[in-house]
Amino acid sequence: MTPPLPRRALLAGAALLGLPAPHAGAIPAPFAGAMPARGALARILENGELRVGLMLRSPPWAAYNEFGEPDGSEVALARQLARDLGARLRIVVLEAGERIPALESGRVDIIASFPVDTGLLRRIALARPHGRLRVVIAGRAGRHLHGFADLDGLTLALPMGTPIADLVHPLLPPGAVAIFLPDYAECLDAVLYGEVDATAAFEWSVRNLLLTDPFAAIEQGFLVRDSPLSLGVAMGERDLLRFLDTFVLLRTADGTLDALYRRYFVSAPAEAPTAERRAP
Amino acid sequence: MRAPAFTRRAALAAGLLLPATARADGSFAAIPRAGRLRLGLLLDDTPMAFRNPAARLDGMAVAVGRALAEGMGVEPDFHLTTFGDQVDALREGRVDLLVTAPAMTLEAARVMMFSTPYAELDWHLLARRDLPLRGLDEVGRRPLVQLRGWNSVFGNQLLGERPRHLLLRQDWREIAQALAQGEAEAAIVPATLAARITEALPAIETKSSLGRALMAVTAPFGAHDLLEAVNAQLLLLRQRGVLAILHQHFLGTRLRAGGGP
Repeated sequence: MTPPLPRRALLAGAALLGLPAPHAGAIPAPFAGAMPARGALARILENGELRVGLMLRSPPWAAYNEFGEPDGSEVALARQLARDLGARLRIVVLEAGERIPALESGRVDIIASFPVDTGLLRRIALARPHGRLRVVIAGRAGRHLHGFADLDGLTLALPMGTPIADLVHPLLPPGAVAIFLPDYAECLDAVLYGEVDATAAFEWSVRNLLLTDPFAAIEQGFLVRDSPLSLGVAMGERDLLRFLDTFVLLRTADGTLDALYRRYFVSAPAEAPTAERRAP
Repeated sequence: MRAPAFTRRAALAAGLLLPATARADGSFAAIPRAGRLRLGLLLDDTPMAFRNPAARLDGMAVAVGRALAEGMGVEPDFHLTTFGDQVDALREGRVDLLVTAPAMTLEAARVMMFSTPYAELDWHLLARRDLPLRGLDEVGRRPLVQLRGWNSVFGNQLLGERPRHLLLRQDWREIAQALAQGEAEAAIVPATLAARITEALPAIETKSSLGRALMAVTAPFGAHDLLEAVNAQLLLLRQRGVLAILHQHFLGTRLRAGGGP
């Protein structure tokens, strides 16, 4: 019986004959299975499936698009991560309160994504940050808001039942009046149309608004919170965490993450800015 | 007033502060007990690792390995490896770390753990001077040679989906030989190897710079404590400007990447 050629010899022979090289994503054969990872990373590599928990309620990070499919920067990040792991992506839709229990019970491998805070670090492990989450107070143009004291005597719109409202409401000075509106867009509209003096918003949304309409009657006031944004894994999943750190480092270095965030967070400027401000 | 220094002890302590439920894995504790740090080194006669006129090991990776061992209070113990067996040496526990690991790629990160990067290497396209090649798109189906093993992964990443006629070789001498004998018409190699090849073969020149690979130390999966200690040491070396000086001295280029732990 002819002994089989060693895999290394076959690969070298294939290369010498000009056959296509192994796909860039394939692990070179001599090392396949070497030093196997443990825990969730091992399961992902073995099963070829990455389960990512996402809350599909926060565009442009993660939401349903017009075709009813999950879309957004964190969805795109999860897709890229699955490709880099050589696995297919399974999105598990979660509500805010379900996220950490889903990690702890092993229902998902990763949660995308958490703003880093110390309380969170007692329950889950967070990878190297891949983005930032900035919350600002935006006021009507000309208000020049520099701090919470400047909100005294003003009316502020807050998006009802959101983490932003929970963050900002307790910090308001006694003379400020808070009005709760159904969502972020309505809060911004209320400022634009002069119904309130200010609102709490994500920094990117105010920046985008001014990019698309430089004469919009709104201006960024002051920064309330600036948090790094990270992928979360269950405590003890150190091999997976190390892979995520390398993923963020390399995909930042090669510009992939920057391109991804530009796609979702930067609007093209309007062709012809309106000559007048929309609101008085 | 002088700013408080971020000391070696503080860095190691910070590096080893484990999450509440993560148990120490013993990989770092084993090093002081052994009194030495076993470092896999690919002595490829480039600025990363070479023998100096006094026949001592020298180079960027050697200097980093010595600094890591010194920071841990132990002796460096270099084990010479080849392109072919360096990952096996790590897997089989013959070395604790690889200081001349393959270029950082996500494919490699599926089988070993990378520290934060300590160097950056440009990769070059080489070909005969009389060949009008400006970039990879113009290589087409010409035979192209590159390093075998894990180092081919970064080369494949640079090639992307381009059609290719690829030859794999063991080291820079074999690549130079393939170019000299006309077996290959072009090569993609790290700048350190490109310098050796063009020195040996004056008819060959660098046609273009293709991209930048990050070089890091690697540890086997599970050795998290040791890798945290390595990252803490690298952070100190970076903060003190040591990495930048070594990079400029050995590789002749500025260290650009960030990469703190």
